[in-house]
Amino acid sequence: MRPAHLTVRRLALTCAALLVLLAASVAAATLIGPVRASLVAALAPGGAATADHAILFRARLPRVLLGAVVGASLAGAGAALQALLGNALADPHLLGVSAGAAVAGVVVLVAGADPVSPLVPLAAFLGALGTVAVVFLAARAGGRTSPHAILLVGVVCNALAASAIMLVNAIASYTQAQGVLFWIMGSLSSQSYALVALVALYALAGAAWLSRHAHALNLLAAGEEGARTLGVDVERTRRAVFLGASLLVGAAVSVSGMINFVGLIVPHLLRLVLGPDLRLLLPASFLGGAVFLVWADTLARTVLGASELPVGVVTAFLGGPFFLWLLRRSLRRASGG
Amino acid sequence: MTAPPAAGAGTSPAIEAADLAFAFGAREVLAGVGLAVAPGELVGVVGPNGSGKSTLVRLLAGLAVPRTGEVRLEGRPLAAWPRRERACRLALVPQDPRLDFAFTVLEVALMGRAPHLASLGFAGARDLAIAREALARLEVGHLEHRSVDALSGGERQRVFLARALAQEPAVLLLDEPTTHLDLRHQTGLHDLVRARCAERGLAVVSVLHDLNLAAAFCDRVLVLERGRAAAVGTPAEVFRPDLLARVFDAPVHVERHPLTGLPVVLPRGTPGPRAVRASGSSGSASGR
Repeated sequence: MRPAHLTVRRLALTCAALLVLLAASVAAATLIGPVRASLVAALAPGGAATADHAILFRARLPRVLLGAVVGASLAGAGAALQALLGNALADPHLLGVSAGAAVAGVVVLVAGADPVSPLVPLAAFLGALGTVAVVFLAARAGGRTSPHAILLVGVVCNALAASAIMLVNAIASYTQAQGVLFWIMGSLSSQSYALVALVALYALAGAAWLSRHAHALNLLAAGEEGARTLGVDVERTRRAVFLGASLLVGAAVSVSGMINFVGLIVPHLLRLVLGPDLRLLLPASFLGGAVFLVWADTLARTVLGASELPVGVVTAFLGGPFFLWLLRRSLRRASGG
Repeated sequence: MTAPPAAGAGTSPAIEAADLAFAFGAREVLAGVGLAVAPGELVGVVGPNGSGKSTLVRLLAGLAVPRTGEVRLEGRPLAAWPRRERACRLALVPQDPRLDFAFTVLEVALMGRAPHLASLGFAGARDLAIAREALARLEVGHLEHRSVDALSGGERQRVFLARALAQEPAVLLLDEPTTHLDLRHQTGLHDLVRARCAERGLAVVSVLHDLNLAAAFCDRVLVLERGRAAAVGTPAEVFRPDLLARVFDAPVHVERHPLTGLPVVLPRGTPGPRAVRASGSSGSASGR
């Protein structure tokens, strides 16, 4: 049984525990890989020149860190979108928000932007923002969103985005199209600390933005009018989530393409354990999402031995069945059974 | 009628509305309704389905903007209040309160403290004490760990009333607060609300389906008929058989309560043959 209400102490302790778990996960994931690399050799005097050092600190660590940032972003965005829509089925990918970000990213790439330039996350952010607005306007009726509406709008947005990407690819040159395909497929194989830092900056801005509105988002569970009678500026809260979630999704998509289900599974499981209070659930989702994707990517890197699997395949295999279970539960509840 | 009926006892009203009109598109829902509620007063709103009761409450709560007229909270137009300050003075318990996620009973009661707290809303010892007292007064304090999802309709309704009480408002708006409650809790809830009126000068507007509950607990009653005020006054003044029969379009019989002297409204339907036989053989209309 979880405590009846959230205290600052419980918030601090839970976040500290998750931070320790994240640090341990990053360390462990860096040491795990198909090739054996020795931390002792890498850190010994003159170790900077060794192959161990190159593997651990130039190949693996940036990738693990990127995984942590992307996982945190997707899970945090998921938690915020679920609260905004009052629906545990909301997820940046299912809603088509990731796809909207990808379309904008692809357009910028084909127009000639460097994949590592700050333009790509900016475009992805704007694409995500536009899609969130469309989803929100289309899926709501009378201040509520039904699971059916959410799924349908998501299907439509995803289909539109896929077509838009194909269209852009048809116009683009062969080499550009290859590059786009590689980018879309989604992987964390980038090996630049600068990129990690850039994306982390976006993610932190989004996280900070959302966290300020965590309690207003709690009150939104009482519905738009209920929240109003409790003194919440509903429009302002909604805009904050649009902006914050879009920053997070834009950041994640711009470096990793499309990674499914992280934004769905992580906040949902954490809500079952920690309760729905977003003052705790939001930071816990950031940290938990980071841990989750670090391990999902470790699995993707190692499960096939020498060749590696896109991390999106791993999250989809984990998240697909989970989503079906969640959908059944939600539909049963919606039909009152 | 356009002028707000006078509130009792010469104090300035906690909430007053004059000449309220509202329409959904071309369909007029309220027209020319006025109301003034003094601190410590409990005013009931009754009327048949679709007479505009809930719309009136929504206008008083500031959830809808009237076409004409104005609502003033403590003398100041609703729209002129900053959101949070307004929520510290005015609370609403909607007919069917909604909650999207499985918050605990205590968390819900603490939400009533939100307008009084800084933006992250961490409850202090005083807020906890207020929320717990409200839950205890409504006899749901023992459920504080439970998820609101797992409660019965009546328990849930009392938790949301506790949230409104924890808000410590000057004006409390209730939209059919007793629909899910059994007899004991119907009277219990109104006893509690009455006590708050007396102790803290709370002003209450309560939409009620049950005319006898209105007669038993309200200082004054506003009878709505197709969006207009058909009558305002004490239950004894307002619950006249001719007026009620016209407004509700159903024959009624009004008696005096043998203990309190307050009006009791009885429907005059056609009884089933078995009911007639039963009452004839026992010689009394009392009992269940």
